[in-house]
Amino acid sequence: MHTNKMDILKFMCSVCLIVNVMPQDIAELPRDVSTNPINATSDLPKLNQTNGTNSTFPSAENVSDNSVTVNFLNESDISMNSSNISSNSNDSAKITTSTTAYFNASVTTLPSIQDENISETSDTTDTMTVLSTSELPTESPVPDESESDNEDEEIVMRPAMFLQNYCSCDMKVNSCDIGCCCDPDCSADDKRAFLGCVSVPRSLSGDARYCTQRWVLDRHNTEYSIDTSNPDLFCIVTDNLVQRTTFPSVKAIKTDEAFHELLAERRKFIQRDPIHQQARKGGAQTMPPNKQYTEGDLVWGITQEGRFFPLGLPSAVFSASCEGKAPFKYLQDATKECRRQVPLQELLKTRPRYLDPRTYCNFFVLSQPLLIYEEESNEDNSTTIPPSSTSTVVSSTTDSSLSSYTESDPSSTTKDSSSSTTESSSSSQTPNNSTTNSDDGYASDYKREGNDSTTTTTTNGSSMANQSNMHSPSLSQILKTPQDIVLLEDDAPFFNATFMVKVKANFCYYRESDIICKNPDDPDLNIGPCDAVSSVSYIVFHNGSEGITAVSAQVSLRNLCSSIRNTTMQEQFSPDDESDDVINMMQNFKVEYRWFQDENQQVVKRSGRPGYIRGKPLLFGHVVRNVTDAGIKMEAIARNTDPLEGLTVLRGGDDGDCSARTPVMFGENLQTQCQMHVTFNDILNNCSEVRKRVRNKLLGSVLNNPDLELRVGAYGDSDVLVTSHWVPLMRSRDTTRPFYEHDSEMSAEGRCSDILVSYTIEVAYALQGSLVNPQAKVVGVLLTEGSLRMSPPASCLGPFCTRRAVPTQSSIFPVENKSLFVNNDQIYEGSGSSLGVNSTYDQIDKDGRGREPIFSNTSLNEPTAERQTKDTAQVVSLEEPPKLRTSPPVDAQPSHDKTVVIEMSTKVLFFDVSEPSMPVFPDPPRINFKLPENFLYPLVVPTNGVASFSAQVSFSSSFLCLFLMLFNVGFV
Amino acid sequence: MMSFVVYVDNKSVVHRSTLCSRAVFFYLFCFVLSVILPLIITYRSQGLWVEEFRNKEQAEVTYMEQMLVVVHTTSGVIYWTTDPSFRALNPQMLRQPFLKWHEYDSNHDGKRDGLELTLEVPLLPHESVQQVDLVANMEYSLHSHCDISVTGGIAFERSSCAPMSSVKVLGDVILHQRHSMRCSRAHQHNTQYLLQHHAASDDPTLWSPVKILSEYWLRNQTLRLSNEYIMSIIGPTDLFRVELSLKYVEQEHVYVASFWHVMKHAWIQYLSVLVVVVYVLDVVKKWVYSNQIVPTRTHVSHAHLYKRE
Repeated sequence: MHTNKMDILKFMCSVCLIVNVMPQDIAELPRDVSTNPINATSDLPKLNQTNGTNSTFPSAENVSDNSVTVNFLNESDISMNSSNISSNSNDSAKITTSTTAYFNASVTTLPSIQDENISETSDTTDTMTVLSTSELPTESPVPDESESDNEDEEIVMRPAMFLQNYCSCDMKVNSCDIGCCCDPDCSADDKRAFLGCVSVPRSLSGDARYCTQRWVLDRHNTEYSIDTSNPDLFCIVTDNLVQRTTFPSVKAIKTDEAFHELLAERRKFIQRDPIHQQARKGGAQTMPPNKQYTEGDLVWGITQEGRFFPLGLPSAVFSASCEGKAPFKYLQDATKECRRQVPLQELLKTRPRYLDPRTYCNFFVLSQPLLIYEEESNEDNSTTIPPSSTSTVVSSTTDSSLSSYTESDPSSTTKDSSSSTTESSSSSQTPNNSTTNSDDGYASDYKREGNDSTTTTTTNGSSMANQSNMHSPSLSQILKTPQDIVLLEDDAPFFNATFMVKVKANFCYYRESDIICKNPDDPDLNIGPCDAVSSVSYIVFHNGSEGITAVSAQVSLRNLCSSIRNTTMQEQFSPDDESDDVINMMQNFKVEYRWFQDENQQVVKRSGRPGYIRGKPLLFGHVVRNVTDAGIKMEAIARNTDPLEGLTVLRGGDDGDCSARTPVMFGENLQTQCQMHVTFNDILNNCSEVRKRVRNKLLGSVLNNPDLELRVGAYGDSDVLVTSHWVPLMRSRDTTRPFYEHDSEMSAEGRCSDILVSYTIEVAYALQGSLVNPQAKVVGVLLTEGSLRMSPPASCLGPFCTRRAVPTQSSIFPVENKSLFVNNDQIYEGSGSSLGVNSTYDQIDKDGRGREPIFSNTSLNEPTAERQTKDTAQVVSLEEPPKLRTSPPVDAQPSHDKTVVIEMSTKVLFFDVSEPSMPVFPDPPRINFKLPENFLYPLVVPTNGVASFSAQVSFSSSFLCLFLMLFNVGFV
Repeated sequence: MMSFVVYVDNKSVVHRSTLCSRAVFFYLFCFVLSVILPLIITYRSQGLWVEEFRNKEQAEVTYMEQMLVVVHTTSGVIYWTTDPSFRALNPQMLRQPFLKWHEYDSNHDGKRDGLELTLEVPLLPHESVQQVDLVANMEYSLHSHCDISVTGGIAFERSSCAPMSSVKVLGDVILHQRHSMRCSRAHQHNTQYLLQHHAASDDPTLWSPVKILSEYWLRNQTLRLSNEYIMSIIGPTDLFRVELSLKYVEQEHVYVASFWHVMKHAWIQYLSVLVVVVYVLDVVKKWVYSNQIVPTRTHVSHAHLYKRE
């Protein structure tokens, strides 16, 4: 080594390289076969072959005098290395230093090494000097690819294989890739045409942490220099743990267990086979579980065909439409509401099942799932059914249900039927079912054309009987397969089985504005196809763990046809009429559970125990006094348990009319506004009557009764017999204005003033009890009549006189309403404003009204002007407000039939007046202790020899702290 | 004989020098350096003068029972507001809703934690809702650092091509600060309601949500919805419903630091560097004087002797 010719740094670098290369990078030896002819002999033919291909590529720039060429390694070259290594290990250091030559760096030649190299290489110019850059571990000779085919027994991914430097730009077999200098197919001549060489990613040597970046060698192998390209202070000189920068090898997987084990963690969140999972979770249960009902369990129904299905309530999921089925859970009350869009065509041709009242009650309810299985075991002991009895077997696979959640494929589940007889019978049954349960999955075998559902079961049954007589399977035989159940007609024991509860239905419908409620079996029942279900209310009587005892369903119907255009209705709507009309209707579903013993008694609901719970109705009643025979005064509270009869406030109905009242719920602030229509004539002539009517409407009959001593329950469970649990409802009147009764009947201008239109109920409540579980207690209720009392104008003036498109009657259906309010002339009353007068606004101008000024960026004047042009009546527009105020009624006609709209508003406010819990700390604790009698014996002599000396010391806590601080250790 | 250390007594070396001498100069230099150097170091590390003060607090938020709802339907705009004067301005478009709300304090700490509000607007059969704008006033008051009350509001808009039957809004009410808040009374000008100054006006164009929000946006402190989800249920209906579920959350507020806060913070920073500097200079001084780098007259004295002098 000519270290004396080299500076320290270079030497160290070379040493670094040597150390670096020695253990693992020995594959970089020049694969000069001629230097080790003995060892290489076995590989010679191959080598020559490979070199032959390699020799074609010497690039134009690397033809140097020394002609040290570098092999761009092929996989096939690797195999021969191992044999060379042992013999070359001595030389490897020298050689590899030369292999790291970097012709761009400052050239520091190593003459002797070069010489050696040259001498070595020059001897073998016929073969080629091969330098490899691959970081091949010597200890694991990599087999040739052809050899790896033989290793079927142990398929191991070889890490080394991926650590080689592939010529990754060589994408075309036997064809020169443009720009790919390492492509063996490219001749030197070819490469002259290249613009440059495509950079090829390297595996290991590309790691920036290595001191030597030897990949550069591949590109520039004409000059020798020592690579000092990594200027980092800390770089990897020797990598004795290549695994740190390489991926470990993974064995090929041969068994599926191993596969599952390997992938267990990785596919944690991946749903494999979702249908399979759903079935496992019970999404598609076809049989009730063998257990008794507990709260929250699915309640099961049994179709007329005898198939089990979980009950459900149609409910909205994504939109307001009925899209899903909410489970009908045991002992859990539920209320669902959703919308149906009924195409008119469909309604008149065939009534959809969801509008048919029988859909919702024509099934049985399973009273207790346990009973089926008991029944089953009983039947196993019994003898087989005589062949004369008509029985039929229905497979539970047909997908008709009120609430089947998933529709199973009939063909797949039919295969589950074990006995051939059931299979055949079920298949024979299928056509019968498929007609009734065609598409929407509702449980009913009700046939429209017949309009006589009572006979349906029998006809159905007889047809079944005919089919099943041929097979006559025994019950025990059938019941072995729980997939199927048996329905027996006539004297069938299962029909009257204990576990089947018939739904007692009651259909209520309108006929000439009368509500008629009839049993479905009533011969007088007269339901047409137009009567559609608008609400269903189930009351389920149960006996706790013993299951359901009775189910009653009240089905309310509404006549859809009345809402269809009159012409279409009267002229017997022809199916050819291509009408796109869609009727929207809401359907309400309600489930209520009651104990079977409560069937005939009213259950009084508390609003909390003891304190109120938010959202529960405020208890409300009035005092009743009674003097008993013994002369004892008795006081009690008369209370109506119906919240709607309690403390209520007026609210707008669907159309903003004061048509509904809403109960006051504890803790829920309310603000309601609505309108009341009073005829103009009444205002003029019968003012006091109007006042009374409005007042009565606003306050309601109870609140308006001044004789009653009204009380509000202080607690959610206030006892009606204990009047002290009730707080009085106080009234405060606006004293600045006279009460209407004392007001003159009519003021001089003919105005009816002082109509009460608003009031406020303020409820003060306080939290009582522990902080952890506070109880709300009402401490005071004040009703304040509004100071704002309207004085309707004597004449129709102001903006309220404009007709507004508010119907007086609520309905869902547009046509009906339109006819209603077109006929009425409504006059709106209100405080003075100069918007405009428009008394004969007889047509609803949708557009003119629809794009009203403010919110659509149009100015206020435009629609008004538009209206002026359209209306024939005289219009006082914005431009002349003074005239408006003073002018006489613009409408020449007597406006007696017009109505004035009175706007009424109510507010209910709840205030928490809880006192904060005691903010100060309690008094510091006092510690009393006595010293022993003789503790200070020499100083204090006990008098009389009795233990009269006692030191009683009181310490405050701070004193104690001081005390302890002073004698913290010493005292102990 | 073994010997034990039974007591340690210190001797002091007293260095004296005349006024105009290198020793005195060096002494003064060290003194000035020990004062100045911590100042420079803390200042350069941006740690000397703090400009803002951050404090996390759950504000007391109150729904002020003032709101404006504008519902765009296929057959026109309907609106409702709690303000009676504006209700009188456009009675044709007014629609009476049913409003129900409550604020709750779930942990009974005296601060309300949320608001649940339901608004039901009756619709005519031919109306279907395409857009809804809602603006509601809220008061937001802070007490822990100083008493600040910001009156603002929350606003949202939802539109849809398909008719909407209800809109549900979930969100947190937060205070958006463009600048840090000042605690002094002179700067409590944020008592402007979102809807307030429109109330007295006869001009209904002021009630456009666009105008209201444009003015509101100009303010430096505004309330707004954050972490919000606004969802609409599609489908025709005769009762349009808006459900608001708001949470009043704890939030970090930024105040302008008060004078004494700045001084306190600066002193803490200064002192911590000063201790180190004084120690280092002490070492340097000891070395300089004990090695007589600067000439001084020295005499050794016992501590008690020195004290007696």
